[in-house]
Amino acid sequence: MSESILSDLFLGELRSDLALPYPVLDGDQQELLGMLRDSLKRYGADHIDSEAIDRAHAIPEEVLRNLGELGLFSQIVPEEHGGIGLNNTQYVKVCETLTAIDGAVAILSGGHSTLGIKALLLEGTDAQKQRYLPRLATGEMIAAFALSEAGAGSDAQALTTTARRTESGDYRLDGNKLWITNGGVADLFTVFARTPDHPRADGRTSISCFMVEKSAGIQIGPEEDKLGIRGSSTVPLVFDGVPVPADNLVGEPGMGFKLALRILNGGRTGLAAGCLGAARLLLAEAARYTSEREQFGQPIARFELIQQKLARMAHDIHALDCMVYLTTGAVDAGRDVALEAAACKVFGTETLWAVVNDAVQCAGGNGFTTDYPFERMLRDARVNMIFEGTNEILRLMIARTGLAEPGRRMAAGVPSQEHYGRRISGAEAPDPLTVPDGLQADALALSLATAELARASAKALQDHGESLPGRQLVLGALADQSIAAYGQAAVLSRATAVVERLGEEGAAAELQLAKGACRRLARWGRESAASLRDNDDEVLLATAAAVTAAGGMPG
Amino acid sequence: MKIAVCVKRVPATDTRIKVGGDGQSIDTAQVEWIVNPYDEFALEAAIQLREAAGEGEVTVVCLGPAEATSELRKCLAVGADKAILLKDPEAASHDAQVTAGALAAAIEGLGVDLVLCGKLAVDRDQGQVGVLLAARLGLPCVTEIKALAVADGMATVERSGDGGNREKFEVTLPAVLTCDKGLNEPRYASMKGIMQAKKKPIDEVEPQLGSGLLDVKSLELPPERAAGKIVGEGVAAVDELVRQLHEEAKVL
Repeated sequence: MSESILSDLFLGELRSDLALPYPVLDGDQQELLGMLRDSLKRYGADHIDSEAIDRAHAIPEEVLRNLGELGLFSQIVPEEHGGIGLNNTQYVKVCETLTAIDGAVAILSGGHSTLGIKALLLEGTDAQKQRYLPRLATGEMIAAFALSEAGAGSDAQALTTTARRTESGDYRLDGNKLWITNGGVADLFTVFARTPDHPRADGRTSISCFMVEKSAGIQIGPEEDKLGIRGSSTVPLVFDGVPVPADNLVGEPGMGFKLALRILNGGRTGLAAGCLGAARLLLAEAARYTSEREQFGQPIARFELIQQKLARMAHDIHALDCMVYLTTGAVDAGRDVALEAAACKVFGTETLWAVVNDAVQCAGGNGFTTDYPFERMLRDARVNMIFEGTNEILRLMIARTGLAEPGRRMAAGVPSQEHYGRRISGAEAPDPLTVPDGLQADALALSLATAELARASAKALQDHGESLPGRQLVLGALADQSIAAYGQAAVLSRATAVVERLGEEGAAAELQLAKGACRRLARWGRESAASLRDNDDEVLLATAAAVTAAGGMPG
Repeated sequence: MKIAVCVKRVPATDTRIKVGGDGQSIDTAQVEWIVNPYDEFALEAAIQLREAAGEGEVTVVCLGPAEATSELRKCLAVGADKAILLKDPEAASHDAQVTAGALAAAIEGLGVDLVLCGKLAVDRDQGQVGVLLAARLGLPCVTEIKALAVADGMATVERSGDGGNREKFEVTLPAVLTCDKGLNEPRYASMKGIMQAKKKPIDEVEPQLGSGLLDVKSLELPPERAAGKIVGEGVAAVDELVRQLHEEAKVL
């Protein structure tokens, strides 16, 4: 058995031991988080003008300095190195708060904490930590993460920036990086480069991770002129023989790509929570607007097609909320959540996109103007589906990883009558999660969805065999089924905890949201499953080939 | 300079208040709690005085339930030196006499030069505790101050009087002052403050509770506000607006 709820769903297993109870912060953790969030929120309300930041394409320096004093950069730096030492749940809750304050500030914070300083935290030596973390905690140094290159986006391993050893044992870096978040304001860069002088025993490409100070001679390119998060810095970098001391290699030489993936895989809950914070704010704006805006003699919130949007937003936001903090709880319990975090990122970014779309629609013509925050938030939201792993790549990762164990068992010829076999063939659904009375039907739906995912996985393995890793439409549909089921599990888990705490009556609001969220997720899962049986994949792929051949509209 | 600041744990100002099942208190199940905003002006004033003097000690005192340690921790993170929690699960139900009595008993032994309170707590909105506290302690009291300076054992304070008059007082210390909005801009807890607050002491003390003189018989929410009314547009609507404000709304 794995330690991953999501991965075991592909085996038809519903891990109630991992899904329940829903994780919560203890009193002290909550108190610390409350103080930090309170300061940031109040500072944001008084001193951060998102419209101005969007127009100026930059966050004012004074704001950066003040945010540093409030602890923005020190969140996950351990106390012994001058930081606050938040755990993952606390940190991700701050990420949620930050997007509601300002999108660009949230990206700045994530670029620093989620990505920029993570290599040091995970694999830095004590000396390396001591050298940089205290300054990174105060914001005296801001960090950035430099992995992507022109020819190495989703295929990050194709990077060509190279670090060669000099006679003294130090390194010289040559190459170019692209799309570097925080690049224009950062002082310290986590740079991934090929290290041919450290060949790997397994013959794979040797990539290593370096902490490189800007002052060592990194050339910072011009700011990208972006659709959204315009206040966030995104630049290309040029390394032209930049000297890097041997001491600044982080982790094991040659194993840097693994470290990069570990950082990226571990960081996606922060982005998902950012989407959650923005989506909550949008729903509040939409709720207010539709109550105040009157047409045909009444507030438009009284019309069903508006109500449909408000409810849809609320249900999806609730599902995302439950998913994100079930996942961060697992991180804090020491479990690997690469798949769950990817699921949160995919669901979170697409939820925000749907929410912002609905919110703009609720606001009609006003939503389209800069008099209201909707259009800026729409622009800010779009990039989320692209960076930190495109949603396409993450769907493939979820499905390929999830299918690995069923595939292995199938190849090993484990008899179908054995435990996994009945489950994997869908003949036996796992026991439903133990949930409050009002959610029994939804727990059963999850159980059936889990069996269906296992069945569909087995069928995909049988039908496509070796070619399955390339069948992206199949993998995408399986990934969606698994994300939906993980969401259902998270919603049920949270509702169960809330009912335990407040009783069914006190938890009425939670149960209402849980029901709505579960049903939407279950429907999405069923539709994804159905799309594997009944689809237009062949004609779709043929048309796509024709479009490519014709360079546009075929015929 | 030793300063005591009285603080209260109150529901966040954007809380949607629901009356509890007993009809005499609010339903606290979904309430988020904050430090009473007027008490934050008092705390900020105290910290500024200590900083200006370069020495001294700011003690926050709170009559509240065990959970109020969260609000006290916030006060410590902002810059108070220590906190005293007069722990009482029933704190929310006491009248101002009982509250003032408990605070007075706790503050009496501290030997402070100044006691600062908010002008009122935003939960009950009564504004009695500061004045009653001064009476119990036998100290002079100025309410709703908007400016404060301390020198040579005297406090110079300003408050808004009737009709917008600015009143200025000189008060011999020790004294009790209740603080109004406009006195200062309360600071945000910094990271350093938050980290230091973990190590500062919160003394939990059994409060000395007298008997109250007031009982809450029932609580009910105000009736829902009627919808607004648009009288007309532009200058042409002024006469009609004035007439309606005068004759119907009777506010002019």
